Amino acid sequence: MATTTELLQGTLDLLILKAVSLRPEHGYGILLRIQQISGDALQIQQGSLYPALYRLEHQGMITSEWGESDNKRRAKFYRLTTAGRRRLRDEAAYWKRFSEAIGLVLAAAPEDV
Amino acid sequence: MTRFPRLRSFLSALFRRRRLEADMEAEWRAHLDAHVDALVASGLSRADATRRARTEFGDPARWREQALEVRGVGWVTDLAADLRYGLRQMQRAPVFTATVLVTLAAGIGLNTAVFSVIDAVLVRSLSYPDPERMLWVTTVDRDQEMVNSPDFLAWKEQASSFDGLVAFDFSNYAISTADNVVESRVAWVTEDFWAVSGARPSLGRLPLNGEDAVLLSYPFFERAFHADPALAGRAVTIGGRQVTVAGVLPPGFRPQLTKPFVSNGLQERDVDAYRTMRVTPPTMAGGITRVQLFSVIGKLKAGVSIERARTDLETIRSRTKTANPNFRLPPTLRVMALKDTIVGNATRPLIVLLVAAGFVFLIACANVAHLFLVRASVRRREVAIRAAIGAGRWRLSRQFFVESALVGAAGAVVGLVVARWSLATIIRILPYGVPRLQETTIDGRALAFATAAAIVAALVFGMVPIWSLWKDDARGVLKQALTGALPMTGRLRTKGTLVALEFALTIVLLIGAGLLIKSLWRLNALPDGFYPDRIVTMDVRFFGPAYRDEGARRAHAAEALRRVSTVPGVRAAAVTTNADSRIRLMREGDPLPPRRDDEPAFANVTVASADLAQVMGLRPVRGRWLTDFEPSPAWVINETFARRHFGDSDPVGARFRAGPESLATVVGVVADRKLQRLDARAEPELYSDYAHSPMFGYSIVASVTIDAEAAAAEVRRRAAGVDTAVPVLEVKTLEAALADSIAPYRFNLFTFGLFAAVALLLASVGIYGTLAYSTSRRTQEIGIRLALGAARGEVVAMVIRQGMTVALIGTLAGLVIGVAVARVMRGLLYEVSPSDPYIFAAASAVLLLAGFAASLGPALKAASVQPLIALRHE
Repeated sequence: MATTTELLQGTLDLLILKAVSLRPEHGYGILLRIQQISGDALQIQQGSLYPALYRLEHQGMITSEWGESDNKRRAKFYRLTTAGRRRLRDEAAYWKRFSEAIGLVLAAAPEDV
Repeated sequence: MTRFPRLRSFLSALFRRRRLEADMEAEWRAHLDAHVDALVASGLSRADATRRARTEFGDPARWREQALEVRGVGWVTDLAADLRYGLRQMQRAPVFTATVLVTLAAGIGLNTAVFSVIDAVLVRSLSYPDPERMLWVTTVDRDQEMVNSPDFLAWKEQASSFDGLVAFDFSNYAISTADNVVESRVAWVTEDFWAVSGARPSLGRLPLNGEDAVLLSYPFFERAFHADPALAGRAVTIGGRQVTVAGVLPPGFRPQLTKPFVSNGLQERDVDAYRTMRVTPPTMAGGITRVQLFSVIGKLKAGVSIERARTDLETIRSRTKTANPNFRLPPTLRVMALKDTIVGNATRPLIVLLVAAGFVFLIACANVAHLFLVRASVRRREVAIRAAIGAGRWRLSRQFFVESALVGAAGAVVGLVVARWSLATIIRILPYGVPRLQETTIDGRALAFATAAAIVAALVFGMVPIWSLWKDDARGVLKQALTGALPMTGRLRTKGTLVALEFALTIVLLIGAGLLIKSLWRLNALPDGFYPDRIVTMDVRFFGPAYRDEGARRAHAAEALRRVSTVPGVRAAAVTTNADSRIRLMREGDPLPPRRDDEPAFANVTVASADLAQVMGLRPVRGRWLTDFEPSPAWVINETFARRHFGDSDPVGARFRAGPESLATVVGVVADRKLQRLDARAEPELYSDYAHSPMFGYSIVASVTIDAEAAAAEVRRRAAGVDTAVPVLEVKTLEAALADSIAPYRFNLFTFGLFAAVALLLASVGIYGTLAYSTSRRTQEIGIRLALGAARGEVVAMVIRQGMTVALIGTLAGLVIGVAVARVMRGLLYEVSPSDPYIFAAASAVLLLAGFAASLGPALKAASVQPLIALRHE
């Protein structure tokens, strides 16, 4: 098994938003999607997925409706709302700045100081 | 669709929770199935896959909670659970719940009612456009508070500090239309009244300047004229004169006027019609100056102080005095805020009432407190166990908070029902003894007051079981609770103190009620042979030119008397005048100022025909009674008169000045009798013979053998038949007339008596509860005593002693407070000393007896303990 990375606080929401922005997904699908995209580096605890989903839905970032999954099962599909799209954009930008900053700090060599 | 997503999801979580949960279940099942499929595909057996998927998935129950929490409805579901639990607790302890509810309801209900009355009477302002600018202006001569026309006319013309000055007076009149005659209370008002009171007729118009017109009150317009709009502008006959009905005032129009003068003999009641009055300068005839007398209210100019108004009026008066040298104006001017006048006399009874209600409320709170304390001891164990198995302090505190609030709220609701009922009763039993009582309703503030009081009372004491949780840790609490090692003595002392407090407060109320009962009894003590319920009285007033002649008036009286005498069931009938007219006594040859300077030499004059003594049961003690055919003016005086002016010497044969040229001879003395007002002390009275006394109106009194109400109707019909133009008014039994005069006493007694009874009940419940609780806690100890050979009688005595000690301490403490409070009540009493020892003794006896009765039950129960069962019990 590949090394998994502990999720930073607050990043789960961002990952979920990104996952459902690609296409509407059901809960299990979101788990798989995140694992797949991150090359199995990110493993979402099943226990924390649903509370996060319900919180985002309550905040109006995603909406849900029942539909049929690839293997003909009834499943609840989550979709990004306009507000969710805005939030995803903001958070992604923030995350990018943040990781670049961290990267710069970590890349610093003694002669740069 | 996406607007207010949070609110929508909150609401759907709240109201469609079942659907939401089913939805989540389905979602998780789909998730699990997908996961299991994936695991099976990777090579696991279906059973292993299922187990593994479940483990990885975790506990759905926790997520369900979180899902609700996330949507902000967590506290709602918790609260609902707390409420359900609280209701179950109430059901499980029905006696406790019922007692607390009744106690709270009584305390809150009575308090709210009293609060509403006080709010209406003392706090709410007058119904005038600028209430704070309204003044009452009067001049005072001895105990007469009336304004004379010369004063009023001068003020009206010269005063600069008023926006309006209104003279007014009251009369009772028959108002007749072509097909209807109705009795009415008419207020005479001068023209400024309309502006000052802000009158805007809902029908018709205001009177024109100088027009003789009336405006009807709306209730009267409905009652007497079926709200017929055609009435406006038409003429009606009032007291023999044609008067135009200018209009009808709106339903809420009720400006407060001061009471009618005592000498008018009118009770206070709603005004049916306002009639324009003209104030005319004094007239001189035969050496006598005749002036109009009336009451006056005024509206201050904005920004002018009462002081400046007083100086203004006083300055004008000094000029008026100089201008009228031969007319004596009343010496003193009095100016005060109209509100203080209207409210004035009612303040003391209401404050006493407030104190009484406050006491009941304190007792109720003390009772609720110790009921909750008793309950707390029982529930400590529950608290300890729940704390031990993981319930947090906050969670438990909230639980108890909800329970207490539930009881408090229920108490407030029942209390409001009680308040409504008490208020309705208070208003019904006393239509006019207290000003503005009619305007009383339970308002929002009273509601808030009741609710706040209830919740606070319940909360403070409902939280007691939780208290120790915050003090000790859960383990200590549990240990104590399970081993029964509760700090019992401290708890019991608290309860004992509360009960003693209840007794102290109760005895004060009992003393108050006792003093009032004795007052009422004194007031109602009627002499032998005097049956006011079998005496019918009625007033006849003459109006119009037909009765300008004294002879015509006498003829009317004689004919009415003859007709009334022949009504079946009438034993005797007599003509008399409205008493309360007073004369200044001058004996033949007396120098002008009366003999004794400290006693005002006045007497009440009653004109009497021969049968008055028989009707009223007046008993001659010296000389003889009057006949209808006295050859010269004759007087009969009462004992007070005789005592005051003749001491021990015989008054019969003494001669007084009766008019400018005539002398009257005293022919007899009768025993003192209170005939006009029951609350009046005996005053000097004189009865002057009917043939030699001028009459402007008269009353007929008739003693009847049959049902007085039925006779009254017939008597009225016959008397009215003499001349339909002469109205016969205020027909009622003397008992009813007298009852009106003691209505305030009955009101005080009713309220105080009610409060005292409630207090007594609550205090008894208190002592019963405490003893029942403490004996039940001592079952084991009592069992041991019995097993060791104590007699059951000793156990009974022990418990009763315990109860009576508390009762006695409370009672003794209360007697001290009682002395102070009774002193405040002095003004409400009649011929009873506020420190009447019999009342104090009786009140103590009643209270201790109640305490004893309440102790007896628990004592007997304690004595019936079976030693073996008791010992096995713990």
